[in-house]
Amino acid sequence: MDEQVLSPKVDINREITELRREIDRLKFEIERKAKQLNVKDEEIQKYVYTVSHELKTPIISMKGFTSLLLSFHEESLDEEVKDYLRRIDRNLQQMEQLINDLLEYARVQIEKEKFEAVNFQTIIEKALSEFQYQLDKKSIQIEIMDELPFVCCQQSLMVRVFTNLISNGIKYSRKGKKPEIEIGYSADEIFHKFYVKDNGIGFPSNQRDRLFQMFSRLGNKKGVGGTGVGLAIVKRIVEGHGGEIWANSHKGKGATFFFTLPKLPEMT
Amino acid sequence: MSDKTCTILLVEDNHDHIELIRRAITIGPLKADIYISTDGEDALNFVFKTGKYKKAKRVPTPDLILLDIKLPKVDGYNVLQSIRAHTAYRSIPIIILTTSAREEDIERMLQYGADSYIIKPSQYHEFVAIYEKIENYWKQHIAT
Repeated sequence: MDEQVLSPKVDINREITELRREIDRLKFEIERKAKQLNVKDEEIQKYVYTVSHELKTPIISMKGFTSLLLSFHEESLDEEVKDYLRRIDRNLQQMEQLINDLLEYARVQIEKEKFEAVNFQTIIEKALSEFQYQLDKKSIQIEIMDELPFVCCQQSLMVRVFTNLISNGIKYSRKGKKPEIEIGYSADEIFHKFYVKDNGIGFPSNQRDRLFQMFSRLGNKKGVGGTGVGLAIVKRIVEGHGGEIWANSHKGKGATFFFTLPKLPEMT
Repeated sequence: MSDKTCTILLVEDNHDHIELIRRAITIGPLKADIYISTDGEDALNFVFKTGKYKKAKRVPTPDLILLDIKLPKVDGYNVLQSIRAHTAYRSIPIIILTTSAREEDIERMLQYGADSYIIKPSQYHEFVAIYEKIENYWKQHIAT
């Protein structure tokens, strides 16, 4: 302690200068690594996009000819052949959906220059327009908290977050029970925190880590369409905005998805 | 339905897709002569009556062009631009064939001067949709 107090001022200044240099060097290194990562990410995106498009070409041919046989030559086919063709068609549809979802995942690009301050009421209204039919028919119920904040984000992607979370809540509803979705908000000094709560079948709490993985479906509801990419897309968007996402549930008692977004995204 | 025959130039390099689109065009009563180009350069030669078509006896000017985007030699965007830049042939209706319903792709095609686009058919209703679109074009823009 005494040594420090008695150190010459010039030594402290030199030390500060060296520390500053070291900080600058580390900053430069981080920026360089970040740029490298961005280039790699763009390369992967382009690769996935090209591969997906190339994969779609033979699928269109196979689906097209299967459909031609089933639609235009139905009378000349016996039941067994028709059954096999329908199976082929179903599998091709699933394959096409997987490729489309992969494409969609690859298309999620966080572009900071597209960030703008948006009222989350507007974002949710846009997301709800995709469910207008169910809302008109009153086959689903969605409650939204009155006061929602302005958040700096990429609007189209944030609409996607809500569309996917609401769609998830509807897909995993309980048999014979009308899906009820609640959207709410709270905040602390640093983060906005949103939640989307449903009254569906939920998921076992020990499976929550798998929820956001690509092509991961917990397989607890028969007949539910989808490939398990929707929540992976949500996670990618939220994390790309500097936030976090997680979910809580007890099997049979609905699920709640929480996500945060920083109040000052440029600081993240 | 007009008795006139619609001359269609189908520019597509995938032979399976040629067959599917050809089938879609022939679903209904529309009379169509379908000419095929399997690359962009051949398509431009056909339209401009150049290259191997220069000395051909009769090369019809298409009433409608169905154009794929990913093509060998000259891609669909360049074919589109070249035709739109040509004073004699710029008004030929061009419909883009696409596997993508992605908004940005479609917007780009329309910006390049395409009149419309159709998604390549893989289901019955898509076959019907293609036929109806071509028939509408024929009725509204060509047969009159």
